[in-house]
Amino acid sequence: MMNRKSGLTALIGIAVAGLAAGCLSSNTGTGTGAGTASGPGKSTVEVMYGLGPDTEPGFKADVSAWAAKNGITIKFTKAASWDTEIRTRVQGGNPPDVGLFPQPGLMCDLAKQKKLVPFDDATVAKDNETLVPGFSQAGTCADGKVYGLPNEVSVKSIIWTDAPAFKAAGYTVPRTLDDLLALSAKIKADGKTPWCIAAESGAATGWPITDWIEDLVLRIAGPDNYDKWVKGELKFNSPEIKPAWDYFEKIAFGEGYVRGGTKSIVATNFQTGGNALFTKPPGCYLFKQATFVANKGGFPDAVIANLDTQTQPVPFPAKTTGDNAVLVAGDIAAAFNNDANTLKLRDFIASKENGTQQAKNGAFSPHKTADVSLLPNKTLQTVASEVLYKASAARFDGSDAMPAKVGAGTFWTEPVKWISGQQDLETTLNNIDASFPKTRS
Amino acid sequence: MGIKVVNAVIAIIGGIGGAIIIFWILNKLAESLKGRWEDRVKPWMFAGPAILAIAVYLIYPAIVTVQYSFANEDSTAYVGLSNYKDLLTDNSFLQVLFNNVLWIIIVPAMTVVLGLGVAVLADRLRPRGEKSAKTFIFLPMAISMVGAATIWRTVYDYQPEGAPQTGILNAILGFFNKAPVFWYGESTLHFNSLLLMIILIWTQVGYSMVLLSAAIKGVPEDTVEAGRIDGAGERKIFFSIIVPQIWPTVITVFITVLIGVMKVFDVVYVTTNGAYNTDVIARRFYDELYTQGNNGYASAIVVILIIAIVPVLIYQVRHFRAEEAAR
Repeated sequence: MMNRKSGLTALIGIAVAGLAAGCLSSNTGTGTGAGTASGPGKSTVEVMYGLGPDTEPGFKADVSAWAAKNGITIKFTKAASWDTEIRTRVQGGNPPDVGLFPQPGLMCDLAKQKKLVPFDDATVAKDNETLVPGFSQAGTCADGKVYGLPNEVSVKSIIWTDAPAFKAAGYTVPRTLDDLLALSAKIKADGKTPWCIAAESGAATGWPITDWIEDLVLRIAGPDNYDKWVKGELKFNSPEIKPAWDYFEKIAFGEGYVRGGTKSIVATNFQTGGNALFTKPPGCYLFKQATFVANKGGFPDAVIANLDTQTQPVPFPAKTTGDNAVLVAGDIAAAFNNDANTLKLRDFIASKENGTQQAKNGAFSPHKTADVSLLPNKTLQTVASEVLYKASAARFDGSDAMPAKVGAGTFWTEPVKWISGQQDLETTLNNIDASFPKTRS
Repeated sequence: MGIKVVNAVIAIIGGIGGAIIIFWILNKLAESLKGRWEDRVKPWMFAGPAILAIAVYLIYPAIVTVQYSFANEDSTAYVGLSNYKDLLTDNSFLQVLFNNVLWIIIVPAMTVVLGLGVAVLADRLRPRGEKSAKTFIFLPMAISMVGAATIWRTVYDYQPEGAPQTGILNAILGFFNKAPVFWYGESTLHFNSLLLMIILIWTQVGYSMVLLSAAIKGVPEDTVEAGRIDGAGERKIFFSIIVPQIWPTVITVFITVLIGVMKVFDVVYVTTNGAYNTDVIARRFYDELYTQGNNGYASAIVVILIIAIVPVLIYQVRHFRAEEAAR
């Protein structure tokens, strides 16, 4: 009896010890300050990303082709929810080798915790020769080192038009922000509606407004002030930033400027809100949205089938001609350890050699030297050559880089209140400023 | 895929097997005790794991939530009552509370009234008609709240004037040459909240109807007969004979729906995400916790919700006990 009992006690003891050990996880940082490689190089390198079904196959094809040439096996890991999964794996002491971050904010958080390896200066200098200006700055964190460089990007600074209707009405492409206001006034004077603006996105309603404001801040306040604004150093209601909102107000609240009136902005879906461009007679003549809208689920199927003849993408105009910036979204590659092959893979992803297959699938390389003719249609080729590669400065989506409280919170909800008539602009901006965390982590 | 199935099977076998082994061990431990102690300890050995689980997964988190509600946004320092003060003086939060009050007043009452109406009317139909009518009313019960809210989009949808209206309501307005209305944004007199309530009522009427219908069928026929002989009209029979006899069921349905309504989240989250003054407590809590990252406010909101729900729960338990005793 006694024997059996102590045996059982021991068994329970072992079980408890096992459970306790399972809960503890070693949390050691793998990143070091050094940017140079060490060690012989792993045979298998893991890359983790949150790419969608449109972009994933191209990325896999490009990287696999490179890996086969270099005798490295790549393990592709797709995260269904990037932010959560990468945080969990890093905290669990089990990060991938290379990660593609959809925005710089989280990447710099991890860099600060010494979980990432920065690029060495030679690689940055080499990539900077061909990168659109601004990309290496976007991947630079608080310590001044470059931790991430982009794999591919999508372009947001585009106004879509119905090419035949636009031409038939005799309108000319606006080159400056003043031109754009003048054109809007002219279209209205002709008895037509200039704009479709669509910001409805279910629980995320309001985000398309952030793209509008970001593009305007980038131009009216300039790239340097844009960076300060994203970091929280410039307030939304500051003399530098507010003019962007005033400009947007002129268009969005202009009598007869927006299809369906101001209220319909927050009620119209961002995917299909531009389809009125293509009705006969046109419901509107101008629609600002990123390149994704020229895919299935966005513009009508008939338009997508004849994209090159049906549409004309116009660069979002500059403050002064010839000096235009571009707003992009994209994935930035960063390394979690300084194994030789890890760094090789990361450097390849960031290099101009990467991106052939991705371009064929419609993604833009961040390098100006990329072969534009690889892109699947003339529309995207125009966007690449006219908007992206001509840009004097590129910036990542600012709301993505702001603290989530603002970038996925008040920056969406407060403008919705403003546009739907619940509060004035002054209150809106002050509310967003009040929600901005005092100290950025 | 195959691996996942194997893993799932192992997890199930391991989980159930583990539970059996634990109870077997606890039982043996109790049996090893002598005499009366075995009888004293044994019940606790069996109830113990459940009590422990409730303590760990329910009581402990509840206490921590109360604790956090007095702390700052990342729960690192106490701030006294300021979370409650901030919330209860914030006009937008008072609007949230007011919206919840509207939901609480309107939805359970409408659910009971409509459920009762359908149950009574269907009772008059032939068996076949009754069955099919009840099936249709009951169908929405099988749809998740998110699904229901998405379906109702086809009713409330808005397109700018001039475009084909894809929402039924606006299509009807268009037929009479009226301008389309952005229904979710119509906050005058909380009309948009009312439209969202209709979605919840639509999913809950089936539940209310089934219980009340069963209760009506349980009303003894002789009591109704007696009323008829005494010369009571249909209305008199319904209100003075049937309703008093099904009253306990009415209360049960009312309270169950009421508790569900106090926690309403999905319908509001999917349709407006709380915009246009349609916000409710549960969505505001979610927003404070996940978007704003403010543990203090989020916990304070939950505590307010708990305080509001507890009296209802106590009443429900008492009501249930009284009914049990009456049987």
